[in-house]
Amino acid sequence: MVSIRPARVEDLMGMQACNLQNLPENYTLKYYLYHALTWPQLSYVAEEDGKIVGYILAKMEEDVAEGDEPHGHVTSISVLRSYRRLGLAKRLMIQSQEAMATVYKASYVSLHVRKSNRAALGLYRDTLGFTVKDIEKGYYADGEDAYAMRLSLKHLAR
Amino acid sequence: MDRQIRPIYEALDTGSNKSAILACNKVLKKQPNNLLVKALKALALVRSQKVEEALLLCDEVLASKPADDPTLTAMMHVLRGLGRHMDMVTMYEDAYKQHPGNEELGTQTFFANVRIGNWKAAQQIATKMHKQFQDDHYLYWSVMSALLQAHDPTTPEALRTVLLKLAHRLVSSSATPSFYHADRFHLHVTVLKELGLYDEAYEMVESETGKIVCSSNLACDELRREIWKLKGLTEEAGERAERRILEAKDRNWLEFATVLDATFAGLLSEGSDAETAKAAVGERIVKTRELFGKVVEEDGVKDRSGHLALLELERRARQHGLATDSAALNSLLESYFQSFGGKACCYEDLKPYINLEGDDLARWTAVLEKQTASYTSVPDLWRYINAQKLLRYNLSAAALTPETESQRAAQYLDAYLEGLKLGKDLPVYELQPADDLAILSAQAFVHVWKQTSDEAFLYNAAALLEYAVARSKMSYQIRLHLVRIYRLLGAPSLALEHYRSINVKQVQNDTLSHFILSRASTFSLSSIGDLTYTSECLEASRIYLSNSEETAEFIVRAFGSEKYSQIRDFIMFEDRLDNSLQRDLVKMEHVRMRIAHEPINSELVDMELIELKFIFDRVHHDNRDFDILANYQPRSVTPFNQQTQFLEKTPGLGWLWVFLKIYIKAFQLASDLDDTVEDKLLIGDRPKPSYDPETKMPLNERLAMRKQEEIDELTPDESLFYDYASTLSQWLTPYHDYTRPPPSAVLAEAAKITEQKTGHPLKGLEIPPNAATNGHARKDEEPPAVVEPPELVTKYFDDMSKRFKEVLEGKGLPHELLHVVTLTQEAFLLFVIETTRFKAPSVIKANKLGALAQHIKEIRARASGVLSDISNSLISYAEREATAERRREIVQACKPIIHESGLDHDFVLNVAKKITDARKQIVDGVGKGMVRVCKTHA
Repeated sequence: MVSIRPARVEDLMGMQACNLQNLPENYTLKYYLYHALTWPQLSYVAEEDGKIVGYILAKMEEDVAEGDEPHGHVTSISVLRSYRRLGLAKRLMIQSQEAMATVYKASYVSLHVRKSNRAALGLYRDTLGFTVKDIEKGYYADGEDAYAMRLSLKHLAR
Repeated sequence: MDRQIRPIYEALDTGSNKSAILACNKVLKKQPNNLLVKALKALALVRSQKVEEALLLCDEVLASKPADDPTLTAMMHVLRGLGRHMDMVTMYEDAYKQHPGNEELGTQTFFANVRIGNWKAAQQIATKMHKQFQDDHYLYWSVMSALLQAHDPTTPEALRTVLLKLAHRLVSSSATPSFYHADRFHLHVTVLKELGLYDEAYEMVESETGKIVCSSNLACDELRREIWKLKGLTEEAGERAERRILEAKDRNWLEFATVLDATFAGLLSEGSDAETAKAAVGERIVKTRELFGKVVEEDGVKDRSGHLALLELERRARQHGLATDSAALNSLLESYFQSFGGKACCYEDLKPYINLEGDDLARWTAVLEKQTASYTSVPDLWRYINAQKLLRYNLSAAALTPETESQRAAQYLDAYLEGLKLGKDLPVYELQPADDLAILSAQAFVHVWKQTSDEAFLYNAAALLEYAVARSKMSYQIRLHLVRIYRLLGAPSLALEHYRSINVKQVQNDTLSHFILSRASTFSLSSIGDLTYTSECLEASRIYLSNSEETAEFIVRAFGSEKYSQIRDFIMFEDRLDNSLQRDLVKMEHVRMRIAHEPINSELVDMELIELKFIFDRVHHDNRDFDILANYQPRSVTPFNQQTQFLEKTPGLGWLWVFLKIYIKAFQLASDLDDTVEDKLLIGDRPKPSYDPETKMPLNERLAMRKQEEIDELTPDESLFYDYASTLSQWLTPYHDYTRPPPSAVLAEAAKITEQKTGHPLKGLEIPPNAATNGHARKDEEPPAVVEPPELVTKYFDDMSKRFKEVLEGKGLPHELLHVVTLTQEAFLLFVIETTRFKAPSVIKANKLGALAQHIKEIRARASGVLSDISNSLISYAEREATAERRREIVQACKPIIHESGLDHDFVLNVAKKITDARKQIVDGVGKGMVRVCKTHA
């Protein structure tokens, strides 16, 4: 009975289950608030009976390098383990991507994934169509490398 | 000039406050009246915690009414650091008055009011700015401010409509229509909605432009849905949702729920007769069933929505007596289990629909029982796990004897161990697919413990969960279970270890710290100088500081960037954290730990008194998450969360209120600060006055109020402690009131100390010349006659000594024993707090209270005697705990779970050792701490 709806600030209090399981990085309160205020259209939650079972936190890249096009970035995406394999991550991702393309005219979306996280890698590559663009050495706090992945949003441009 | 100032800024930016102060002094030597440098020095002083000196400079700068931007900015940081937001408002208002044409100063004045939630002033400033600078966004600021004032709990009911009408008038006067800007549009429609002008609001959202705005802005679209609902357009919304489902293939549950509401809407409409309405709804049900059936056909097992919608339709039809086929629900359940039994969410999905009875239940149970264990693939394993959970949910009381439950626990565990093989190659950060079987087993064991009070079953649960968590390191669920069980078993260091492994972050501290910090003073060793739990309290409370420092700034930024649709969210969020119940429950625990560790002097007493009084005026929000703890107990049994509560009582608002009353009263007696003194010495703003009418009553009346619903949240021992504390303070009040030095003397003393510290006299104080002579001004009245101490006080410690023996001999669990013991120690400390004033012989002599001193001495001796007896028993209890024999007993108790390999004898022995060591540590420490506390306060 999942509904996907835009994330609100107060959802922060309901997101702990997702974060306990899946969020190894430390994002500060400020960081969340900044996302919520700056790109309210890009972050969504999956809610089931009032319980938050998944969310996507996304933003637009603020320092676009010269020659690069405006693009979105997925800061964090998480689905409660017992709600996996139901297509929730995909639905969250698509909602966010549509808004990136239509509201902010993003031409592509990027994200980082742990090299060892094969399940996530499979999701991004096989289900969502991302491709690996680069490897960033020691991207994570614990020293692990990250794959930098991206997906074109040109087909969504209106 | 710039050359001199730059190094100051650089030092401040890099956090070298010392060199910033030096650099300031250098400039001030030559230009003693340089306001900016004074302000910067004040900032550096605030940041180096030199509050007194900073205050002095701060007041000097404020007095000269600065109006230049750099000084104002520096002062904004100084005032924020000192918590003086009201002064910030005044400062900007003064500056704006001096330069009424300065738009930036106007904006800052507006923001200063936003920060403290002063919406009335904010609205007036914004209106003024709109007139003066003719920019539309000021108009919308004033609309938003009026709306917020209307919603402020302190705004009287009658004024609310007036304010909403004002907002309406303002928003209608805008030169440019609101739809050019989605957030302005949102604000406009919101104002109409709140005034109940649904037709107008509907016209706006359904207009050509409105539709465009809503289609690209989700906040506006949500508002549109709400307007439809408020206009009673359930049917129309249903049709729209139906199209979304069929044409756009939208599978959002919101759409399905809308269709369901529309299907049954006919039953709610008044006027038509009930039978006709029922018949009509019956027909609608058939149609809706067809629609959902089509979705199921299209989606197959790719999406659950259609399947769940059919179940929900059937449930509602049954509820209204409109079900036509009595077997339909069962068929749907079976088909759902068939299609999604291999998904982890199946149990949660079906739970709302399986409260079955009689034949329905028998048929459903038979289906589930056919599901045999299979370990060939993860979905197969999950299908078995779901069947077990679903079966367990409906177990009747008769099927839940300790024997059958023990058998089930063993059966779940065997399946778990078998299921582990399926996940043996998973990377360490993955969870084992079989985890929930271990949790099921542990919950069954805990249930048997509840039934039999035999702690052996808790050891079984703990040992098997330890085994499981070693294989699923990231399982917060298993760790939370262990936290609960270890607290019951009196092994707080192990509980804390697991809690810390969960790596609770940010806002989670507010929602989850109750797991470890609820009644944490029971498990604290602060009395022997071990501050582990004390610092955990501080750590968990950091989020509240970040909130008060940061969230208000985001509200300001939301105004700045005109994100009106989000402002109320931010305000609510800030309020929920700022006035969080958990925040103050932790604070209370911290105070209870602190008094066992620190010297009890005026510094501690005065500071805590002021803080606790602030808390006593708050209106709290309970943000604690208890639902996160999985519950797989049958519906006929209390949930796991309740089963594992500390002595079956979870502290809530009532509990907090009782402890606040106890401690405010105690500190009030001990303190020399009365309200007039407190006002003069307080730095920073008082919190906003609460809108709870009770807070308007005199403090002493509030403190004396005893409410049954509050007492109901206490354990019997806490309730006794409350009686003791109230009686004690009642008895001692007249002597304190007589002995306490007059306010003038207290202020004179404070002034003296400030002058010693800073070299300057305390500002704004006029000390009457006769007050400064000495602390004991001569009294005109005779001292109050000393009466015998009440029995509740004199007998308390003996009663607690009996309670202690009772629990010890009755084989209560260690947490209960520690509860009794720590409360007894706390009663002693409370006694110390309330009698320290009468320790000095000079005070006794001057006030002729010799008889009182004698009573105090006797009670103290009695209390010390009891504490040292208990201490001795605890220390020898701890000795017995950490022995090979005790470990053997535990291993013996865990026989049901010990296997040949893996979860074997050695593993369990190791867990037993950890538990007994942890228990020895806490019991021994608390025992030794009691002696130390007695000695310190002899």
